[in-house]
Amino acid sequence: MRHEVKAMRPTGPPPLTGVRIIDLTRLGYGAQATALCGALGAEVIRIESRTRPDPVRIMPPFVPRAGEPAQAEAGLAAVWKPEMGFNRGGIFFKYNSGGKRSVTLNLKEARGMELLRRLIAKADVLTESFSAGALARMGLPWEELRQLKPDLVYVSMSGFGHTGRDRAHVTLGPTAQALTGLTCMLGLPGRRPAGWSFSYLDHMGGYLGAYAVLLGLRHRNRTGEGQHIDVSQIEPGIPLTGAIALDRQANGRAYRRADTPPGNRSPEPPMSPHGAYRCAGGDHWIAIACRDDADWRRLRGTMGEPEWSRDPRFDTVAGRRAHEDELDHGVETFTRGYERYALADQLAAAGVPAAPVQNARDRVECDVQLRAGDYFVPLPHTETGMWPLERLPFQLSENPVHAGGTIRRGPPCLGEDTHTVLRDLLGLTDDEIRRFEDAGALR
Amino acid sequence: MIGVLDDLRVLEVGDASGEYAGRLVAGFGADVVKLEPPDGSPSRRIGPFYHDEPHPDRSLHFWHYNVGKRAAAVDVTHQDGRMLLDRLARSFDVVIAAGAPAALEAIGLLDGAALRRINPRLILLTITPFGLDGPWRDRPATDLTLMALGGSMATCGYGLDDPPLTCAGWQAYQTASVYAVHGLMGAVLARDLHGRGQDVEVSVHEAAVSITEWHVPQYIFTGLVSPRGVLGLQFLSRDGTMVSTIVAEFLGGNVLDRLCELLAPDGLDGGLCDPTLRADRRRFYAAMVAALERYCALHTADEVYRAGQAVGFPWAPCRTPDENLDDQHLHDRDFWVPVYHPELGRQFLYAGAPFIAPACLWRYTRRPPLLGEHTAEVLAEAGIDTTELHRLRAAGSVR
Repeated sequence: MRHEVKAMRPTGPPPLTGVRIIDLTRLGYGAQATALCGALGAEVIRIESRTRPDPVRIMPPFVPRAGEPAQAEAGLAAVWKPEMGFNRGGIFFKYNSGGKRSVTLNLKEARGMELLRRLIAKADVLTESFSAGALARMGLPWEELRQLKPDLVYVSMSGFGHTGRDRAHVTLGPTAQALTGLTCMLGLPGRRPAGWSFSYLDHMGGYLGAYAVLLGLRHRNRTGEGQHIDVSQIEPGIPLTGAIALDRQANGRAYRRADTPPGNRSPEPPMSPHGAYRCAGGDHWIAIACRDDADWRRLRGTMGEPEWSRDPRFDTVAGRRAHEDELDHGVETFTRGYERYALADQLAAAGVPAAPVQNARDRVECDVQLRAGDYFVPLPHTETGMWPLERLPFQLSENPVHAGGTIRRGPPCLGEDTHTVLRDLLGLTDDEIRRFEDAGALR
Repeated sequence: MIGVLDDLRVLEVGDASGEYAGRLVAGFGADVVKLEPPDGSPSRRIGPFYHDEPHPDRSLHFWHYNVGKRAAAVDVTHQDGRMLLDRLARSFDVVIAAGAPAALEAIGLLDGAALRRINPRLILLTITPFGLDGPWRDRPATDLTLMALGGSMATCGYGLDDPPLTCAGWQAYQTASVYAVHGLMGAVLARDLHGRGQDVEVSVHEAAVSITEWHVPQYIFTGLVSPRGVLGLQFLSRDGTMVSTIVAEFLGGNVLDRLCELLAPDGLDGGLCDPTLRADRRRFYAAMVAALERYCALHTADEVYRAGQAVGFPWAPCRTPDENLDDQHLHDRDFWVPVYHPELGRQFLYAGAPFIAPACLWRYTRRPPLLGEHTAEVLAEAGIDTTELHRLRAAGSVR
């Protein structure tokens, strides 16, 4: 059955209409949280520095300027040069959509801090991702923040949180993944862990940071009370490791053992075959998961019941699990002859969960489901033009969410909204803004 | 103190892809009722089990995802059960419906507008493999196949000679569940203002697509595709644990200076502090990586971790998840929450709050529910009297 897309056409205001976030987050994990809030309709005002710009602004891959050839910079190997400016870091686009504004303030200067205080006084939410205690050392501990705005929702997103023995420790995505156990859960048994090839916890930590903002807002709406919510990058990651900590407590079983991590296999729940199998072409693979014996029989039928597959050892999941190397070899002998998308179509039609292993190009060019769902949303970027950005993976039927936030714009160029925000939000005149500028407060 | 979500009654129906969403709202006070088939939710059959004895009430997997919820066992594929589901949907604030669209449609959980004709405040949250439309809508899928489509697998692994790998566990489902909570909170905040419920639609596929950082932007901006392989650096410590990190410019000159100081006592800093070497990025990083590798070989993972962090270097040992039960920092933050299981006469530490919100504390008021434990209670709340309950039990519609 083919369903034509009936995209939700919500007509109300976005869910976070009227919520203003003053956003001091940097890098991936913090910025991810506020991008999500922006997509939910909050007005997110990034406070940035020209002298110490967010490193993500100058990190490869770089966005070509309009008219430049797309292959101009060599992906992650490209090196930033000053003449490229601060607006072309490609990862910045990923973490800072949601219609964020950008205001540059020099927080090393008293007059820059004065403007920050005045902005916080007009905010519902303050977010930051400094190391623990840094904002307090800049003169804005929680006691001070709540003086500026008594019902402020202050969400700090540090590596390890603001309390506890290791609060001074710092994380990057891979550090947090290593500590939580997520690195050790990805790899082949008997080998060193392969770990995640990207910062999964920059996303998931950020998403939990967004949940903190949403809960803080609801609590404030119900009680009039603000609070400081202390988010770390570690705690959002630990529950993602499932029942492993309970297994040690209940059964004394440690995860560090010869059969872990299980690669793509599924000891629990027992599913087999369960893995990635080579297809025709280059580095092309198909993932196949037989949930039960019926799925296995369907797969066998699609393979044309080859002699090896009729071996009674493979009739039950226990048997297939016990002879999985042989089984996987047989399945791969079959898949190698097929184009991965065509084979996935055929297996899906037979009722077997199967899917091509898609890389980034496949997701953009070949994924008909993403295309039908308008997953990539063209949004304008002031310096480099229109680019397709990813929308949120959820929709609401009445109150819309949008990757471009309420202003339908891609990520902000550094400081592009400084003047507008100071004028409209703080009511400063052009002369006053110029005086702050002359005093070096807007760098 | 009130629980920030303690006015929400959430009915959770369907497969494993929505269980983490229910847990995340239950921890902040929502009354989450898990509606299961009379023989139990499939996740009750997933091991490991307590004392390795398979039993619906002993699945540690089930415990992890369902702590803090209540459970009612109702056969919603049966006509009586369908009627009960309709009745429950009338009194709940939120229905989390997870699974294949056809399965949800068969029990009336795709038509939010119809449900809201009876209960206008109802938020219907669907978590389906591919969303509710599009050419792949009705494809069979599992966490593995969704991680494959999502793009993580293409780059996770050791290299092109080895297969693409997924992470153990339910990472696509969990990612979708977290997004589901955002959508749910958006709908709740909106309902707080205008009083109306609405539909929230989550696609697990799209959720899994969204988590690969620069991979999609890199393709869009440069046409390049990331290769498969290990991210950053891994060093083997003296006690055999891998230590993971990234050495890069954005760490800042101070951290790199202090790393040189860290290496000095072992005599591994030779030349690293020389400004001419520092000026040559490629040679400097190669020398730094070689020095760190030798440094790790001389010390235990814990020594390496603490000494590096003391100079602001973001690295860490690759722990296994259970090793975090012993972590002092997590205990200082009361992360592990003791939950008493009276039937077993012992308590277990469960992963707790995803963050510390002092005015919205995370708590588990109950251990994971036994199969059918709250059926009578939940049906009574929906106005089903004891006579009716006995009839339903006798007919096998509820347990």
